[in-house]
Amino acid sequence: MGTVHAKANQHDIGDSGGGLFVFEEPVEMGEEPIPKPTIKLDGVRARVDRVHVDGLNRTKDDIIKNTIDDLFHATDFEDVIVRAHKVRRALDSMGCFRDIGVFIDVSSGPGSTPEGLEVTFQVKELSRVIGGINTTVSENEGNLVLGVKMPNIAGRGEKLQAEYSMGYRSTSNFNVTATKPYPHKPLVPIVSASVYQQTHEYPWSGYRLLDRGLLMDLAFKSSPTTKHNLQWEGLVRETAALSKTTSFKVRESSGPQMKSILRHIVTVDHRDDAIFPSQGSWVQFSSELAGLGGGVAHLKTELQAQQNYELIEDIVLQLAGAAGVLHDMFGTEIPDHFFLGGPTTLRGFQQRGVGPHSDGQATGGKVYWAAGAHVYAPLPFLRNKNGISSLFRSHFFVNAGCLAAPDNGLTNWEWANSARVSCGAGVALRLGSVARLELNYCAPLKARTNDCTAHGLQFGLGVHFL
Amino acid sequence: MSDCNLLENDVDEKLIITKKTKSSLFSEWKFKSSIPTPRSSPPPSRVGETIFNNYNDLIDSKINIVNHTKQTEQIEKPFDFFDDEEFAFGINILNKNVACVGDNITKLVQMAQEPWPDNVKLYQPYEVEQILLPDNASCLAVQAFLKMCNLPFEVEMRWNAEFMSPSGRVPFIKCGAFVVSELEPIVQFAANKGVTLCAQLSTEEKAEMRAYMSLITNVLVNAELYISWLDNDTYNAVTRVRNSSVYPWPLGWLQTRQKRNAVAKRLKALHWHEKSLDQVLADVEQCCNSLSQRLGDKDFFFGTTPTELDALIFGHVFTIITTRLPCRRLAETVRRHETLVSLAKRIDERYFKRP
Repeated sequence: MGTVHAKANQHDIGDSGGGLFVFEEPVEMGEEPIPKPTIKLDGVRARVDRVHVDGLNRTKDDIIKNTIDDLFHATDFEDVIVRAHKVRRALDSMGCFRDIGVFIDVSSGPGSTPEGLEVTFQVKELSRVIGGINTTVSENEGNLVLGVKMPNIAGRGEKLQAEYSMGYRSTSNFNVTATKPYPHKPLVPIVSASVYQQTHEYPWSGYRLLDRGLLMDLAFKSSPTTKHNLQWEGLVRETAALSKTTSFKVRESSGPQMKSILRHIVTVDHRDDAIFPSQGSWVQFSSELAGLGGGVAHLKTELQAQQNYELIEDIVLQLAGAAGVLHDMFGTEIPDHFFLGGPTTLRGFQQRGVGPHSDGQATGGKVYWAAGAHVYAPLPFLRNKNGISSLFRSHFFVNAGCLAAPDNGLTNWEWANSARVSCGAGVALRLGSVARLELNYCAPLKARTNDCTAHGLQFGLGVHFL
Repeated sequence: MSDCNLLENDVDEKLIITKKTKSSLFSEWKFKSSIPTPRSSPPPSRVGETIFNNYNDLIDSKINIVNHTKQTEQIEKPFDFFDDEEFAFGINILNKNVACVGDNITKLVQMAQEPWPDNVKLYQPYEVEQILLPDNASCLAVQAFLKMCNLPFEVEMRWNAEFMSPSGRVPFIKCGAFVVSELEPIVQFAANKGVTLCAQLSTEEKAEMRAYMSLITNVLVNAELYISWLDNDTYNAVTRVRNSSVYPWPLGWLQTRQKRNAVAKRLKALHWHEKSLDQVLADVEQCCNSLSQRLGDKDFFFGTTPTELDALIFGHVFTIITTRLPCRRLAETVRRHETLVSLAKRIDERYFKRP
């Protein structure tokens, strides 16, 4: 990840013998560097006189200036180091550079002040074209992605990326994305446009989708923990029955449709970790309006929240909830409905197993709510904190939820009382920093007659879990 | 004999093929069904043989085929009346045009033999603003057949009827758990339930009927497709407007273009794409001539009760003469054959009573 070296002359530091100290940078943001010698760094006054950035080739100067501007506001030595760390992270997130090294030295030469420091960033730019193969995880399946990326095309962090991904249930997804970040503080907006073609099969509902579309996205942060996404998506979707045995109700949704969607997603994340948080809350609210053009008009809103409490050391209580409402004005078909059930949402039921079914195939609903309470603990009997067992957690859970397709609007509230409940226990494994693998033993406690339950072991792979 | 002369007159170079088929008639007959049929025998009389030769001539002139074994696949799904194994063969065809909820094959076969239910629905595109000439002809033909058999049904119009259909073509019926599309599989489906219009026909007459039905499928259907999609006047004024009327603007343009390319590709494979409008109309004229001469003065093609052939002819003739197109020549060509027009009107009055 890089190291920070600091050298200082004896007489500048003062009391104890100064020296070299080196520390590894942790991943979490904002964590204070742990100084080994007993110097009170925040007592040492310092300011940054000059900042050098070496190794720039095609990157333009103005975005670098915007990013490192923060460094000039440091008042003491600890502040310098913390800000240097933040600037290094900001340069890294621009996606233009490979290795970033930071050197802090005393400033000398003309224009230097007695407390002045010179900070040098040594960067290596990424090459013009990068290719790679990696894997991604999405709804209960893994995908293999072959990608070609052209980072930093015009010198300001623009990126052009083409990806081809193959998955177990989705064949030949292809997309080309162009991204341009604008490092204007405090919003830091990023504009991206993407053209894609996806085919995806949903055997639990009996249909196959072929989507071709254009997605324009504006992402910005209104505070360090709040992220907004404003999107416009225009797509042509072709729905086809998956096989001869598809139920007639699903067959009725076949055919091409054109949708033009405006979407707003706001995410507030105060957790300390995305996969196994121990404290903090996370809320995501997304609203989607389709109908300005195209043949489908609906309003879809969804709210998801999670709250974590640390009970005793390493044992975390997590409460999660989700709710969604779809108001259909015209032309909404089965692929747009909500579905509930599966190893990533309501455990103990088959994928899409909760809600209205027609001939054994899920047709989805317009309103849903779901809630979960989990207790996470590290694996019993294995106390090695830094080994591979730190990637595992064992958990006990209780999940409840309900999905309905009320025909007469929301006046009929009795559907809200027909909750499905399940409980169980299992083991969860962290994959990287974004995905999770779970193996649970589930027991559905309460279910309606039409639902497809899955009593016993259930395996789940995904990014978002309830 | 008159139709034999008619067709032999204008195809001199095909005499060689004619002779070939005459000499190897017995083996040709076997190739009609993909399963060898021990009971099948060639027709005893000369008339049937002549019909068969004429049918072969017409097919050879329309489709470029290498050998006769391929003939069965080229023709739009012929079904075999000859044999007890028709049922198994019927299931083969059924698989291409039939969808059913449930995958147990023996149970499927049993379910297919249950009596006709009450709530059968026929799905087709919107009649007033969407449906096109070839689809309208097929839908009318199926409706006529079901009415002739006295099988109750309801018409449901959907914009996505052709995408809902298991074979991609309209019309299709939903009968209990079965979804069956296109006329010939529907006829076979009804036959499995014991309902048929040609029970009193002899084997030779059934062969003749099948030959004429294939003639219509090869000539009239392709002519309708040609005029709707490849003739620029009709395409711009009628087809494009009607086909994209159910979609929002950019999607309508994309869908119509896609469909036109698909139809052009299909007609190219059948060698209809390079014909001129005059040649197409000449083929239609020839087809109508042979049909009207076979019909003669009779009420229906085979006796006094209608058969599937009458339903198919009604569908196509009635649609052609009642659809207003920029190109009037097709309607005029068909209208000249008064016996066919009167047959269509007779069926219309008898089965599609309009108050």
